[in-house]
Amino acid sequence: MMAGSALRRLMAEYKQLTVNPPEGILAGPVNEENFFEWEALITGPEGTCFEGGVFPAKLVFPPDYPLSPPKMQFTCEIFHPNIYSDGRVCISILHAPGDDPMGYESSAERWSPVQSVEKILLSVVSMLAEPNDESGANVDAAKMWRENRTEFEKIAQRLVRKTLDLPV
Amino acid sequence: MSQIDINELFDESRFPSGWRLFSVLLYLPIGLILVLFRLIVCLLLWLIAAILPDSQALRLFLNRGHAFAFGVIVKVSPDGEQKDEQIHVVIANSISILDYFVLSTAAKTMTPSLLNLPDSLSNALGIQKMNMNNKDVLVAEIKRFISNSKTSIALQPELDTTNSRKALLKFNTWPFCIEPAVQPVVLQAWRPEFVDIQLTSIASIWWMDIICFMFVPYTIFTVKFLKVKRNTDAHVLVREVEKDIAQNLKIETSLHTISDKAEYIKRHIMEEVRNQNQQNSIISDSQIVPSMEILRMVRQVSEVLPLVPHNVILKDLLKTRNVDVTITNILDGIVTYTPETVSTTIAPSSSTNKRYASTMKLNSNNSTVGLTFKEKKAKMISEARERYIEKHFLKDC
Repeated sequence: MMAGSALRRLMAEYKQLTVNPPEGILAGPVNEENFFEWEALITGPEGTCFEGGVFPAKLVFPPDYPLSPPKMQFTCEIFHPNIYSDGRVCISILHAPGDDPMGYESSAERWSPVQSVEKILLSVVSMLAEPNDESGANVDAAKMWRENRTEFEKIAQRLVRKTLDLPV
Repeated sequence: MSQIDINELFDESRFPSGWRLFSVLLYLPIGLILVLFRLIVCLLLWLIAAILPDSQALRLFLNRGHAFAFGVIVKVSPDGEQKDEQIHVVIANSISILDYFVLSTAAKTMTPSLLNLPDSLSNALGIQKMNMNNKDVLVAEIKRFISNSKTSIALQPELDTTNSRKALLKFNTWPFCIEPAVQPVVLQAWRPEFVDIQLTSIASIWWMDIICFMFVPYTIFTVKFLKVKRNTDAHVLVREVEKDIAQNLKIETSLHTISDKAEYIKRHIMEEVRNQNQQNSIISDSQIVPSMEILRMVRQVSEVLPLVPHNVILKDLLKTRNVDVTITNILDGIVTYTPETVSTTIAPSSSTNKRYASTMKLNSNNSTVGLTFKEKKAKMISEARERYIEKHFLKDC
C-alpha cells in the first residue's frame, strides 16, 4: 500500500504544481515512468546575489513519502553556506523530527506529511536569499558569507552566469 | 490598482432576478422558437459555405447571414476615432464568445484560432487558423500573416471574458510584441431590457453562450476605436493600452490573470458540488459509530493526506472499506473537502517565503500551459537568460 499512496500523493502534487506553479519555480518528474525522481529549476530570488540564476536540482523521494522527506541535491555548481559542495541541500524542512544531531532546529520547521514539494522549494528560495550561517554545510561558504560578503557575491554572480550558459 | 475581489469580475448566473426574470419567462416560448429558427439558418449557411466556391460575395453573404443567426447588430461608436488602415494589430477587451465576429464586421480584422473551417466561412466569421502551440510560434505566424495580407489581426490580451463592469483581467504582453503600434478598441454590448440575459457567466459552456445569443431578439455591440498607441517597449505599451481601454469602459485594471479565473471557476464548481453533497448527507452522518478498525484506516489515510478532515475520510471509508480506494477518491476529487488549517506553528522562514512568492507573482505569465516539462525547462532558462542579458549588458550599450 505504501508505495501506491506515495505515488498518488506525488502525482497529486505534480498536478498541483503544474496547474498553479509558484513563480520562478519549475518541478516535475524527470520522466513520467518514475515519479520518485524529480527535477526542479529554481530562480534565484530578486534582490539577492543569486538573482537571475536558474539553478537545477534533483529530488529523490523515498517509497514511504510523505512520511519521510525527499532528498534534494543541486546538479549545478553552487556555493552556499547551507549546501554541501556536492550539491546536497541542508535545510530543516528536509529533516524528519528527531534526526537533528545538532539540535538546532525546532520540530515545527521539520519535515512532516503536512509539508510538500512546493513548500520545500519555497524554503530553498528563501534559503538562497538568506543563508543560515549557523548550520554550515559548506564551512568555506559560511565563513566567506560572514567575513567577506563582496567576494561571496562575486562567486554567486559567476555561478548565476554559469547556470544561464553566459560567459563568466 | 486597488484590491479587487476576483468574483466581482464575473457573473455567477447569466439570468436576472426579480421582475426581469419574470419577463424572461414570459418571453421563453418566443425565444425557443427563435433559437430553433436561427439554428436552421445557421445549418443552411454552413451547408452553403461547404458547397459554393469561395468568393467575395459569398463571404459578405455569410457574414450578414451569421449576424442574423446570432442576432448580432454591430455599431461603430461615432465619438471614437476612425479605424487606422496603417495599423495591423487591433487590441480589444473581451466580453463574449462572439467578439471575433463583431471585430471582423466592424474593423475587417481576423482573430487567430485553432478552428479549421472552409476559407469563405472562416473569413465571414473573422477567424484565421493559426498554430497556437506556443506564443513564439503564434507571434511569428501573425507577423508573417500581416506582411502578406492587408487584413489586420484582432487580439484580446485578456484571453478570456469578464462582465466588464468592475475591472479588466491583466493583459498579456505578447500581443504587443508583434508591432510597435496598435489600435485599441473598446467593445460593449446591450440586450433588450425585457430579456436581460448576460453575455456569459462563470463556468458557462460555449454553446450555451451561443444559444443565448439566438434566444434573445438581438444583441447590440458597439465598437469604439481609440487613438493609436505607439511604443517600442511592449511592456510599456501593454500597460498604456490596458489603462486606455479600462478608462473608456470606466472600470479598473486588475492583477487577476486568466489562470486566476480558471482557478476561481474550479473553486466555484467544487463549492456547488459540496453544497449538494451536504444537503444529501446531513441525515446519514449522525448515525455513524466507527469501529476500531475503521479508525485505524482513517489514521492511515490521514498520514498520506494530512489536510483532509477526519470526518470526510471516515465518511468515504465507511463506503469503500479500503484505504487505497479512499485515497484515490480524495486525490481524484471524487470526495471534496475544505482543507483543515495547519495547526503546527509555521516556521519562521515561511514569512520570507511569502514575501518572495508575492513579489514574484507580479510578473506572472501563464503562457506555459500545454508545454512538456522539457520545453518548459528550456523556456524558463532562455527567458531568465534574456532577462539577465537585458539587465546587465544592454544597459551598457
